[in-house]
Amino acid sequence: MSPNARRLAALSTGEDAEAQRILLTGIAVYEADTLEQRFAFVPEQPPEPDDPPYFNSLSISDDGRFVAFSGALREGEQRRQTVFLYEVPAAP
Amino acid sequence: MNKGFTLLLAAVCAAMVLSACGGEEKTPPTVPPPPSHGGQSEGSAGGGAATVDGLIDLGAALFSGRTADLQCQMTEAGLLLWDDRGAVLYDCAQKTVLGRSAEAIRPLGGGLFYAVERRGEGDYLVTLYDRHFKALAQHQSDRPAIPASDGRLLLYDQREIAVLDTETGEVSEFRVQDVAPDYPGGIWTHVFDGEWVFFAATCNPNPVGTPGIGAYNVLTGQALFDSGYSGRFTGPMAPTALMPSCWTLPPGPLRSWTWGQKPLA
Repeated sequence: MSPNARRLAALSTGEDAEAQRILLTGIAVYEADTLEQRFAFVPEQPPEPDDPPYFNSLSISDDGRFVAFSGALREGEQRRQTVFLYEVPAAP
Repeated sequence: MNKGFTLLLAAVCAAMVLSACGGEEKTPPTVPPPPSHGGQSEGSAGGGAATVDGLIDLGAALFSGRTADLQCQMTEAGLLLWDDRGAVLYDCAQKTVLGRSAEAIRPLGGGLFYAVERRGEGDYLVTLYDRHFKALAQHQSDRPAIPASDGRLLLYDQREIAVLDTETGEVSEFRVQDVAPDYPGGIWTHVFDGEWVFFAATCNPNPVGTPGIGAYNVLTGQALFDSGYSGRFTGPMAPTALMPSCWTLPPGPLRSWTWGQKPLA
């Protein structure tokens, strides 16, 4: 989890008991005080034990305005490493 | 025991490194393409969930064709993206590239960055950079380096832990055998909270044998070791490869942690 004073950025995880590892399955940003979800990203591909999508890193800016995360996503038979950047909308 | 480190100060090394890597490279503003990740993202701007069109695929824009793991971290200077072949510093608000390097530059904190070049067996060159990717200093080390939480660098191997003050170049070193002569397996894992290095040592590295657990204060030089540690050990491969619980300890002062039933402080 990568917190700042106003917002929390979190990885959702699923446990692969057989392989004894943690699969990182999604990203979400919440308001720190209300826990209202402001952003979520979930890869379309379902986790596959032998070839799961995963995220390497997650970071939120000090002002909570931007969240960035990196991961490996499948595109057909290939994997593509990428970093996504998202500007979290201001609270209403 | 400072022989493993050589501090070569700013000017000469900066020039050398900048020459080697081409120096800071300014690039024109980048407008990344829309995402094509095949994923789903939702945002809430007060009107309920909606497809997010503000998701920028920086990987495709800045690291196209790379296959190594990409990492990212917000820093005081901007968003740093890096893999094993280079790094980019990105201004999220202006959507511009602030700097680009062919070095695998990583964040260190306090507006500093660093890169570790493995030049051979037991031969590492650690370079410190400022927020403009200009080299400030270089340290030759026989060990790899990882950043500490406070902007210092931890240099370590199985036998020794050293903490390098990146501002002064001073090195504080600790040898496991000084407090744990019966643990030739050395350090199995460690964690640094800014003042104390907690570590677990083994009498046999492969397979991991009887564990012991210790701590080293980088400010005072105080070292502690508990060979009778019988606390909780956890890990993905337990019980054949024990991962000491110090790896999972949250950062905090030493007094908040007890070894087994024996308080340290």
